[in-house]
Amino acid sequence: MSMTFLAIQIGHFHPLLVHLPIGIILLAFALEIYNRLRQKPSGDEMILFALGIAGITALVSLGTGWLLGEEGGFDEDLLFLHRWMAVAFTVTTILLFFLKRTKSKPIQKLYIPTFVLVLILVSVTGHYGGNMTHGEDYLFRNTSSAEVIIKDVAEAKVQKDIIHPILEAKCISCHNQGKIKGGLLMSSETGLLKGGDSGSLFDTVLEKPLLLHRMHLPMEDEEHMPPKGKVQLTSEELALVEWWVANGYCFDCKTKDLKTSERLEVILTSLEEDDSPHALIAKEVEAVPAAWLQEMKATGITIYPISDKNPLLIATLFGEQKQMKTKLKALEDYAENIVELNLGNSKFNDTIADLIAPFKHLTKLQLQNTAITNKALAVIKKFEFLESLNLYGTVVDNTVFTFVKNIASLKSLYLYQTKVTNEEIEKFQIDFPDIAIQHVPKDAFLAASLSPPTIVAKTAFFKDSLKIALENTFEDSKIFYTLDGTQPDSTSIIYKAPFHISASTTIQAVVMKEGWETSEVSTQKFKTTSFDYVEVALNKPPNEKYKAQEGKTLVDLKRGSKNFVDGAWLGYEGSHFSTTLTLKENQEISSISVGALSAPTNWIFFPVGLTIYTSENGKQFKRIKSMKLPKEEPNNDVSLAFFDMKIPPTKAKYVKVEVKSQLKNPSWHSTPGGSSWVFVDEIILN
Amino acid sequence: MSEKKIIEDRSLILNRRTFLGKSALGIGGVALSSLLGVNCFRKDENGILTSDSGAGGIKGVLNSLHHPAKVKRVIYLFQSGGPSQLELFDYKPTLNKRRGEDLPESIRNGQRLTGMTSGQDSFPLVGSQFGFKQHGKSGAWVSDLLPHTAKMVDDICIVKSMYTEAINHDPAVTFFQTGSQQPGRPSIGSWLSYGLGSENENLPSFTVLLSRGSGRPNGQPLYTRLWGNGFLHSLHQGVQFRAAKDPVLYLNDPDGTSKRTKRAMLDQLAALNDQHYQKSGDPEIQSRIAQYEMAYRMQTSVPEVMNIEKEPDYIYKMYGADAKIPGTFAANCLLARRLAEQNVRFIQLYHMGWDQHDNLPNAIEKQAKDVDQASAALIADLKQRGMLEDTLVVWGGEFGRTNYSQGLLTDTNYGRDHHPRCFTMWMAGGGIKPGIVYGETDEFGYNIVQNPVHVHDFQATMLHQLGIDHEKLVYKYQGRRFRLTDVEGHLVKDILV
Repeated sequence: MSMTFLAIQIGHFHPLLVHLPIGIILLAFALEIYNRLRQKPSGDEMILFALGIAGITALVSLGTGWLLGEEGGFDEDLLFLHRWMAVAFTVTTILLFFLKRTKSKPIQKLYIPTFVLVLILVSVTGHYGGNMTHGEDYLFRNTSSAEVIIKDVAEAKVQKDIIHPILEAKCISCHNQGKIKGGLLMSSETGLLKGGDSGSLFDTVLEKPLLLHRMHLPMEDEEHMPPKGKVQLTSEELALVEWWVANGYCFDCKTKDLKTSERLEVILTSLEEDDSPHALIAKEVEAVPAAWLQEMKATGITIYPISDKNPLLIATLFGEQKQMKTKLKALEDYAENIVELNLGNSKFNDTIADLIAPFKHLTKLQLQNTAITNKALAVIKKFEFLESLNLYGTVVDNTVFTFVKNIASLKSLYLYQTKVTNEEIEKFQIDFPDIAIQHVPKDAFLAASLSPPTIVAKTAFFKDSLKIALENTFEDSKIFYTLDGTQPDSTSIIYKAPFHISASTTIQAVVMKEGWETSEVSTQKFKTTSFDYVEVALNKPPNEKYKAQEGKTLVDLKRGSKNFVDGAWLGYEGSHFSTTLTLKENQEISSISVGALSAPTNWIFFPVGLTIYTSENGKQFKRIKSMKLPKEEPNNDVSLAFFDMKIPPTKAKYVKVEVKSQLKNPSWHSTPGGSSWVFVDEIILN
Repeated sequence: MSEKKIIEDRSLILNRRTFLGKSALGIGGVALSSLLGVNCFRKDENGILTSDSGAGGIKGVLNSLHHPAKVKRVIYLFQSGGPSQLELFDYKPTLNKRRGEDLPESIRNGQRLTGMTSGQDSFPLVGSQFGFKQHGKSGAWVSDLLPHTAKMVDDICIVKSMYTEAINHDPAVTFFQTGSQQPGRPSIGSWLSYGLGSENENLPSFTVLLSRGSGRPNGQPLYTRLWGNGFLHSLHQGVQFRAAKDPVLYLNDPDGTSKRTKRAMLDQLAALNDQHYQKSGDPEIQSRIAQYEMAYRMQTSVPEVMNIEKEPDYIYKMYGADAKIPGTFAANCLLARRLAEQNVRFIQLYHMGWDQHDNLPNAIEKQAKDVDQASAALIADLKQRGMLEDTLVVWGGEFGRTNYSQGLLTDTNYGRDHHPRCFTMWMAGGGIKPGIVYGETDEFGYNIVQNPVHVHDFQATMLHQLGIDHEKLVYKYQGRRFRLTDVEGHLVKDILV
C-alpha cells in the first residue's frame, strides 16, 4: 500500500520531468548543426555532454511515467503507444550518446540517421503524451466553434447547449476518451449514463445523486469533484447541473420543457448571448494598453474602462478650447473604444466639433452647457450606436430634429434650456415616440407659494420704542404689513425700510411676487411695559435644570426660544408656578401677560389658569382676578404664547402671580398621567 | 494591543519604501502638483496613499469596476426617525375598516416591541387618516400627503417590502449606513470613497447635509459617526456641510492670512508631518496631510458650490420657497444637485423628525410637506439635465411604523411605534426600473408577503449599480475581511433594468 502510494507520488513528477529530455535533445541537435556549419569540432564535447544529460533525464522520465501509467485512468491504447514509444526514445537516445562517443568511423556514419530517428521518436511520444493529458482533439479543436451561442434560452437544448459546455470546461479534461479517470467518460451521452467505477452518476448517495454528491463534498474531501486545485464550478453552474439532474437528466429536452425557479430564470437568461451595443462594440475593438490610459490620465483626461477586462472606455474632458483640442486629438488612437464621452461644461464648440467624428462607437454623448450650435450636430448623425444625447443648456434650435431623427438607436435626448420649442418637441414625439425627450411634466410644479417674511426685532417687549425690520429671502418681491391686527393684502402698507413702534402692536405681514402664490401670514406681538422692579421672588424653587436667572428671568424682556434648554425658561415639573414681583413704587396695574411654552413631546404644556393677587405692604395679598385657560388640543408642536388677563385697575406695589399647571399629561398624550411641566419665561404688567 | 503595537503593525502593512520612492519629489511636490490641478495621491490595496499622475481626485482601491456601472453617484435622502409607510405609500384599507380592533396575535406572531409599547394592554389597529389615490401610468398608490411625489411616480421605483433587524433608531440607522447595528464600521459613502475614490479633487467624495423636520422639531439626534470612516482611512469620512456662514467649519483663513502665507505654512507643516510619518509610519499622518490639502482647495470650491443665490426663479418654484432658507430639506436637495453636478460621489442628506410616536396625523402632515416637493423636484431637475441617467436617488428611513396605535386611539389622533418587519423606500435613476412598485405586504401592513428586501440586499443593489460587486469590496482589519454587506446581501435584480 505504502509502496503504491510512494510510486504514485513519484509518478506525479512525470509531467514536470518529461520536458527535460525533449528540450535537451533539441538543444543538442541545434548545437550539432551549428557546429557543422561553423566547422568547429571543438563543440563536440558539449554535444556529447548534452546527449548524456538527455539520456539520463529520458530514463528518469520513463521511470516516473511508468509509475504514473500504473495509476490508471488513461486510455489504454494511448498509454501503450506513449509508453513503448518512450522506451524506444530512451534507448535510442542512450544509443546516440554512445554513437557520438565512438571513434570508429563506420559506426559514426549511423550517427546522423539515429539522431533523426530520435527526433521523430521524441515528437511522436510527446504528441501521444499531450493527447493523454489534454484530450485527443486538443491540437486541432476549433475553440470558437466549441463555444455555444444561445440566442433564445427557452429554445436551447438543455444538455447540449447548457450542461455540456459546463462539463466541457470543468470535467471533461480528465473524463475524456483519452484519459478516462475513474472509468468515467463525460463527453458522451452513453458515457454519462454508464457512469464510472463508483457507479452510476445518478444513483443516490447520501440523499444526492452521485454526480451532485461529489460536487457538494467539502473541498478537503479526497473525493470532491473537480479535485482541489482544479477550476471549480461556480454556484450558478452548480445550480444548472442540479436543475438538469432534478429534471431527469434529459438529453434532448429544451429549457422551456423543464420547470424553473426564479433564481434559475435569472441564471438562464444570463446565458443568452449579449447583443447589447456595448457587447457588439467590444467585439470589434482591440484592447487598450494600460500605458496609453496612463498617458491620457497624465494629460488631465478622466478616462477609465467601463469595467474590469473590458476594452470599452468612458472619458470626461474639461477645459479651454485649446486644451479640448489637444485632448480630443490625443484620444484619437483609441477613439473607437470610447463609448461614453462627456464634454459637458467645457469650452467645446463648433470649430472643434469635427474632432469627435472618430469616436464612432459612442453610445452616450454629453455636450450640455457648451457653446455648440446646430452646426456641430452634423457630426452626430454618424454615430450609429448613440443612445443618449445631452444638449441641455446649448443654443441648438428646432433643426436639431433633422439631425437626430435618423439615429435609430437614440433613446434619450435632453433639450432642457435650449431654443427648441415645446410645439416642435410635441410634433417630433408623435413621429418618434421611442425617443424620450426628458422634461419636467408641465403640471408638476405649478402652485409654488412664497415663504412668509421674518419679523425681526431685538425683543418682544420694550419701554419707549422698538425698531422693526421685515425680511424675506426672495428678490423682486414685496412685503405688505398691517399694524392693527388685520389680515394684510396688496392694499396694506408696503415695507420699504425698518420702522419704529411705540405702543403694544401686533404686526402681520405677507410676501407677494409675480408668478408666485402669496405667502402665509407672519404674525408677531410686541408689548410695551413701563414698570421697574425692585425684586422678583420665586415662591417655589424651579427645577434645578431649568432655573435660568431665577426671578430676574421673568422681567429681563427677553423671550425664551423654542429650545426649552436654552437657559431662558423657568421649568416646574408636576407643580404650579408662583412668583411675587416687587415694584419700585405703587403703580396702577390693568393687565398682565404671562409668556409660556408648549412642547407636548417633551411633556411641557401651556398653563391652564392664571390668578393675580396684589398687596400694598407685601404681607396681606388680595385676590384680584382668576382665569381659566383652555386645555390644549392634541398636537406635538413646539410653540410659544402669551396669556393675557385684563384686571380692574388696581394700585399696588406687590404683585403675586400664580400660573396653574395641568400637573399631569392629558389623556391624548403618549404617556397619559405622567407628571407634566409648565415653562414660564416672562411676566409683563401694564 | 497597545497603541504602539497597532501602529507598528500598520506600518508593516504600509510599504514605506514604495511610498517614499514614488513621491520622490517629496510632499512639496505633492502640494505643488495639486495646485496645478494634477492629483498625486493613489492608494494601494490597503487604502494607503501613494503618488499617481492621473487626473481627478483621490483614487479608489479598485483599479477598475467589477462590471459596467449604471450610475456614477448616489444621492441618499435619508428620512431619519422612521417614516410611516402606512400614511405615505402602503395603502391598507383593511386597517381603516378594522380601526380600533386589536392586532391579531397570528399577525403579530411574536414580533418584539420597543419599551414604548411593550406595556400597552391592547394594540388597536389604525389606518391612515389621509386619502390615497393611484397615480401615473404605473397606477401606484400614493398618499395625498405627497402630491408632488405622486406626479413623479412614473420615474421612481417604490419598494414596499423593505425589512430590517433593528427596532430602535440608532442601531437601525447605523445598520443602514454601515451594514452593522454596532457602531464602528465605515459608512456607505466611506466605502465608496475607499473603493472608487473621487472624481473631483476639489471636493470630498462623501458629503453630508442635515435638516430638521417640522413634524418633530426636537426629534431624534444624529451622531457624526453615522458618516464616519470606521476602520478605513479617515480621509474617507463624510464631510458635513452646514447651513451657516461657514458651511464647513474652520475652513476659512484667520483674518490677515494671505494665500501665500497659508501655502508656505501648509508646505512646512507637511514637511514636518512627513518627518514624523517616516519615524512612526502611522498612516493617519498621511490622511492628515491630504486633508490639509483638500481643505486648502475647498476654500474656493465650497463657497462656490454652496452659493445658491444665482439659481433662477423657476428652480425655486420647483424646489419650493423653502429652498431659499439654508438648512431646510429643500435647500439641501438643491445643494445635492449642485454637488452632483460637481461629480461628488455620495451625497447623503438626513431629514430628521419622522419619529411620530404620538399625534402622528398632525406631525406627518407637516413633515411630508417638508420633503415632498423638494424630493420630487430633485428627480425632475436631475432628469431634465440628463443626470438621472447616471445618478441613483434613494428615499427612505431606517424602519417603518406599526399598524396599531401607540397610546390612545381617538377619532382624530393616534401614534405609531417603530416597526422593523416592513417599510417602504423609493429609488430612482440609472438602471432602476422606473414606475414600478416592488414587494407586497399583507392586508394589515404588518408582514411582507412577497419579495422581501433586506437592508443588506438594498446595500448590495446600490453597490451593484455603481459597478461594484458587494462581495469583492473588502477591507482587512483585525484579521478579518470586512464588507458593507457583512456576509449577506443579495442583488435585487427584479428592480433593475
